[in-house]
Amino acid sequence: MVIIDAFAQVVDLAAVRSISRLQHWRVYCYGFQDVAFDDSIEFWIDFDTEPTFGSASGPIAERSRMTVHHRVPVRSLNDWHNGRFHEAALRALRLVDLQELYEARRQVRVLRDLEATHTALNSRFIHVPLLSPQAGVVQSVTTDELIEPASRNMLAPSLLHMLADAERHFEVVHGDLCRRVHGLAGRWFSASQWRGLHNPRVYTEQMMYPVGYSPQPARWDPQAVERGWALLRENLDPDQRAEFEAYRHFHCVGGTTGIIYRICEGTQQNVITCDNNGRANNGLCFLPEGDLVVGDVMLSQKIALELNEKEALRVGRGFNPAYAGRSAADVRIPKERLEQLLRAGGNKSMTATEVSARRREPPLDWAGDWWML
Amino acid sequence: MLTFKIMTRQHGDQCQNFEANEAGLKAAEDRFRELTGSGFFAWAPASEAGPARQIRKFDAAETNVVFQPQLKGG
Repeated sequence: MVIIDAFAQVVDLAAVRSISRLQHWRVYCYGFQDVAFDDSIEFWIDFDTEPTFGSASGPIAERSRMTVHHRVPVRSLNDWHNGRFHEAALRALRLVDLQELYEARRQVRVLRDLEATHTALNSRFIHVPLLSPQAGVVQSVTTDELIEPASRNMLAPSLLHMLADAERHFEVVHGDLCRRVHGLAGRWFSASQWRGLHNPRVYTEQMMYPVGYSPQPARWDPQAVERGWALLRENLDPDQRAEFEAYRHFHCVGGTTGIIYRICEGTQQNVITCDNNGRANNGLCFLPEGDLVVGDVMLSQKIALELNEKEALRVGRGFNPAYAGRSAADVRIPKERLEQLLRAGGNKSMTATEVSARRREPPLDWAGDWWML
Repeated sequence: MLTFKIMTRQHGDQCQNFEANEAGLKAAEDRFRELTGSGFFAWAPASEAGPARQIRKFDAAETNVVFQPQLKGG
């Protein structure tokens, strides 16, 4: 069994706090297929509870990081595609939960610091030797003699009680979150419907970023990523470029059918068809072969839809954009832009019925998850 | 000068330049056939001459060609 450390979900509270008004998360799925059927995947979620990420708060090792591990067999990763992961992740990892976790940890830290200060204060007075001028001898001065008993009695027990309460609260919050994550993972990976799949596609990387914040996965060279973005921007028309800069998605018109497609930032499950009212309709998942960077993938999808739409429709697989974590699924095309797109697609001849007829349908004897086809 | 931009795995697009002489054009044509034969989709970016267009056959007049891998279902 090969353990593949493939899932890393790092919640960056610094980024979240800076854009917390959005209150949304975006899920990116990256996939590769060279994972054997009997492999296992170790999956973990890190809760980074520091408000800054590796800067002012010091090196990563000193920051408080809570990790939940969950190991699952590859054969039970079917729910990955189903998009239920995203729903479940949103439920389990809401921003308020993480903020509560952070607050609980912060309170514990503050009280521990206070308690440590108090202890140090006592220790110093206990162990500092003083010279008694009357007796001419050295004696140890105890806390009882130097600190007023009343204030100490008031301070220490209340502090300890507060610390105990804060620790208990933190354990409750953290434990609750961990239980939910374990339950979540159990629900994701419980059903084993991979039987019958000779060449299962395995999507083993999941990175969760807040909207508007998308750090690059480490497996991509940053320079390559930049080149990809540059090539994409270079080949977008001005309207598409403006859309992309504003919303991180853009629209294009199918070269054969005239269908309006929305290409969102991402490499998989990022193409959404729109109806004539500008609303998201269905998802069409296709991408170029090879592990291309995001910009190249999006450009390939745009070019394929504009110049080679039949092939895109032939190989593409449908998905429900609402389940795929695409916040862009809720966005409606502005009226002016919609009219522009409709005009651009007006001279295309293929009807929606013909389009759906060209889509590959699951075989009748398919016993597994047909949405994986 | 002919420029081929080839989208490659994890490295972004890689540029390949060919001189506009006989040897360069021959090398470019061979490379074009090699890439399209292995499934790459060749297209010319939009320019003053017109919008982006697919290139099915090697054309020395197309000085800027982008190659993207063939599509697969996600």
